[in-house]
Amino acid sequence: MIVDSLEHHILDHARFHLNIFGYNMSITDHLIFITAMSILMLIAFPIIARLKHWKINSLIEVMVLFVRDDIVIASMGKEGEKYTPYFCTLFFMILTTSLVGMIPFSKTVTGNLSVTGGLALTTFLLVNFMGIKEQGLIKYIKSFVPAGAPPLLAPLMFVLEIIGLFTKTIALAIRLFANMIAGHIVVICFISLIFIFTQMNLISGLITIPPSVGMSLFVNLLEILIIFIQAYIFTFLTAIFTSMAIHEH
Amino acid sequence: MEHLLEPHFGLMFWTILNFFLLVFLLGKFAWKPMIKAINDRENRISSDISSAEKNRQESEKLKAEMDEGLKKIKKQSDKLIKEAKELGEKNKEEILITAKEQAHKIIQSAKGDIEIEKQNAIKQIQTEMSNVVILASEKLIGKNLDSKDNKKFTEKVISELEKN
Repeated sequence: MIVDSLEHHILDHARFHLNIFGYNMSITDHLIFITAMSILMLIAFPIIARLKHWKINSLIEVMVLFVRDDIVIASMGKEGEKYTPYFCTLFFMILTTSLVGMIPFSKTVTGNLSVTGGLALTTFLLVNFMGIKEQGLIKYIKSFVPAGAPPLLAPLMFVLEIIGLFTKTIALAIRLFANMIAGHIVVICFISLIFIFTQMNLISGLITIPPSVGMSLFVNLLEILIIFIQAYIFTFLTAIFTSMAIHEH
Repeated sequence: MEHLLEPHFGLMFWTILNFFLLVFLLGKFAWKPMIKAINDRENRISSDISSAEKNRQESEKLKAEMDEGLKKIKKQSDKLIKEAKELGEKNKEEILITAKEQAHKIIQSAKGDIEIEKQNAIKQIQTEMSNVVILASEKLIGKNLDSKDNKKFTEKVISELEKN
């Protein structure tokens, strides 16, 4: 029963099955949801940007300033300032989709490994693109081996750096995914406790209600904190990786 | 639950496409105007601060100038007051001296006048007295005294009277 409810709440469900070139391109709940969120963001943020002297504008501005000063400039320096819009989009994409995922009956798309994997892949693409753009292709590939490395170790370090590039991406994807899914699983488990104890005995079920609801509320609030932290971490790590790719070691 | 870790390439592809579209559109329509507004405000604030600093320095300079002027004026006015006081003191003393002199003169002349008047009065009294004495003596003696005796006698009487 718990597994059923978990699968129902957390997993993605296909609405239309679609296969293109042998790939599963089905239209799923998460796909619909992520599209809806993107459209919402596309409508809301340009309007908010023009609503000067409104409180909501100041709120978003504070976060934009945070992304600019404490993420982009802090990790990439002053010359990274022009990439602020990219990091703002990344930050608000994760933040908005995760926060809306906290609303009952909505879907937490960042709790899907494919979505976080997609986001991590954008970081992978960005890091390599920026590295090649700023340093040139040959210099960028050379930069995988640190300048002071012994010649004998160079091939090993090159391989390790290439592996590191992929592990960084995978770690990004799994970190966000696990953080988002864990809270939801814990909440479902706490709520399921009530039903499990009620099956055993009505009185014990009734006694379980207050601690279960209290703990799930606590975990919910904790999750809101984690959403902000994870949005920050994902954006900050992307900025750091990009900065490492831009600057020669 | 094994589906949890199963990658879904369609969703992944759509997420990437979706994200880059968002980066482009939001960057153009949301973040650019917002960051521009932030930068404008920051520039305005920093220019406001620098102009306020400039104004402060200017006003400080002006205040110092004013203080200097005020000090000068105070010095001058002190000097003027001192001079005026000295002049007043001098004038006062002069006036006092002349007044004293004048009063002395007036007193002296009044004293002289009184003396003259006194002498006149004494003379008049003397003549009156001699007449009275003559008349009284005539009555007493019962004879008319001639003027020679008369005079001698009266003078004698008067000198006696004066002695008394």
